[in-house]
Amino acid sequence: ATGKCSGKYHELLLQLQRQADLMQNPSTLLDPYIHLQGLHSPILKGSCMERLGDFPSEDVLWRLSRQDFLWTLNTTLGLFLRMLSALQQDLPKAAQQQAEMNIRGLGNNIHCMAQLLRGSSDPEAAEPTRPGPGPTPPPPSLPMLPLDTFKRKLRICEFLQGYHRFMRRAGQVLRGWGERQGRNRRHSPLRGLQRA
Amino acid sequence: ELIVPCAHIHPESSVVQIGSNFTAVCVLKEKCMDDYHVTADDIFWKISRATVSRDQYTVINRTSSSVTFLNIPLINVLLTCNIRMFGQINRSVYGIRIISGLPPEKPENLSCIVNEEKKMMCQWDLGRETHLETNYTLKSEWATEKFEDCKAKRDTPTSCTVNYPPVYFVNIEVWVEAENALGKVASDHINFDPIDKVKFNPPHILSVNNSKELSSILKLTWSDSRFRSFITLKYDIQYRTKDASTWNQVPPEDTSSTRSSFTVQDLKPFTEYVFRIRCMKEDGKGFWSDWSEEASGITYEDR
Repeated sequence: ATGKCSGKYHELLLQLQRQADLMQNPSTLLDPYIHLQGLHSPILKGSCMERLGDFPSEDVLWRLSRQDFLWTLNTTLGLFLRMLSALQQDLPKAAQQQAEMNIRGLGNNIHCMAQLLRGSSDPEAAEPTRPGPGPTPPPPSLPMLPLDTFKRKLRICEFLQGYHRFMRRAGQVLRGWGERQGRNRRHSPLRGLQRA
Repeated sequence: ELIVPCAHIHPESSVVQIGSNFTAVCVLKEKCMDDYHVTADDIFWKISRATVSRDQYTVINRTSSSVTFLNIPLINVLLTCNIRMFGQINRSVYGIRIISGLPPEKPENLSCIVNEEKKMMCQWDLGRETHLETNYTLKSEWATEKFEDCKAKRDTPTSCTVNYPPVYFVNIEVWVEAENALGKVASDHINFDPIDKVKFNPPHILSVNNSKELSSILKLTWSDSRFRSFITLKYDIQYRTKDASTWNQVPPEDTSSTRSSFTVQDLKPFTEYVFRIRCMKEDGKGFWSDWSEEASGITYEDR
């Protein structure tokens, strides 16, 4: 690491939540792609749905401990970043660059949050945000893209849709952290972590 | 055949600090001393075309003469080592350039702005004039990543626009390094979330509608930043009658949250009013947008 991480849990959590809000918005990547590839007719748009398995499901995310959740988020987006590079020719350049930067920025905040949680004696840091054993999800894999041009366009569309949906799910889990923290605010061990 | 110089001056061309002292030594080569039958006694110094007075230099030994300048002023001159041959022919045997200046002062008042849909630009104060070629470099990094240096252009040394798109909700650390031949210094570091440095594009007034039922009101609608989906904005709305020169202000507390319309009340019936609006982040962090283009509307007739 180079610079300093914010030592303030709530500030960092709010940033993570807002990043997820920003990144789940299709106008940041999917819409420009759909526009560029001429897929904006209602019928085509209708078939551009997230494909199961491209990204960890909501149920999986909720069952993870915070550290595992951060690891899954980071690993999944790391793979997505590689996909983004592979899809450079297919994506509008500005949207692709901004998405890449947003993902690297999220990686930065994940690093800082993981560091903060490691430094915390908070038992919740290890517990899943929702009770129940949860298998650590298999690392997501990059989808195989069909050779047929149209099918490839559609497959990429599904994948980008999946990215935005995944970010929405991640945002919901992160909000769950905030609410959970709110309920235990009185004796939140993390409060001691807030440094100036 | 490369002309081998008859002498050498130490140090080579130099940058010296204004107000300091400077000494140079000219060392003659044996071959030249033999060829021209000269020794260090035959050396005299010149600054540009002016001969240096003899009391400023001394003969160190058979081959070397040193010259000293005290309390150097602001200069950019050629110092030459010359010999008088055969008692009458003057010849310059070596020369160096001496430039004086000052080391950079610590850059102050570093601040940054992110104009919507543009890259972050930071600016700072330079401090005193250095009289030297001074490079200003904007450094920026996250906790996990260093970004490419942003080198301020020669003609705009007080600002730099980074070459990567802004990433909101990620704290970034920024500082400026100033460097010239006489020294290097860094500004204080500032650490912020770019979302708190945004200057939004001005809102665009879509409509100004009057009301048959109420002749004292006009309703404004506008479109503004795409940030509105994840950032709370506040607005300034100003209005004046068409011929007035001073603006009236809608109370800020009435427009302190994200909205896309507002009804201005207590207006005179059947009167043309001009409106303008601007926005910024609700918590006051960042900058006011420019004013929107003006839009006008006429209140309904009184009945």
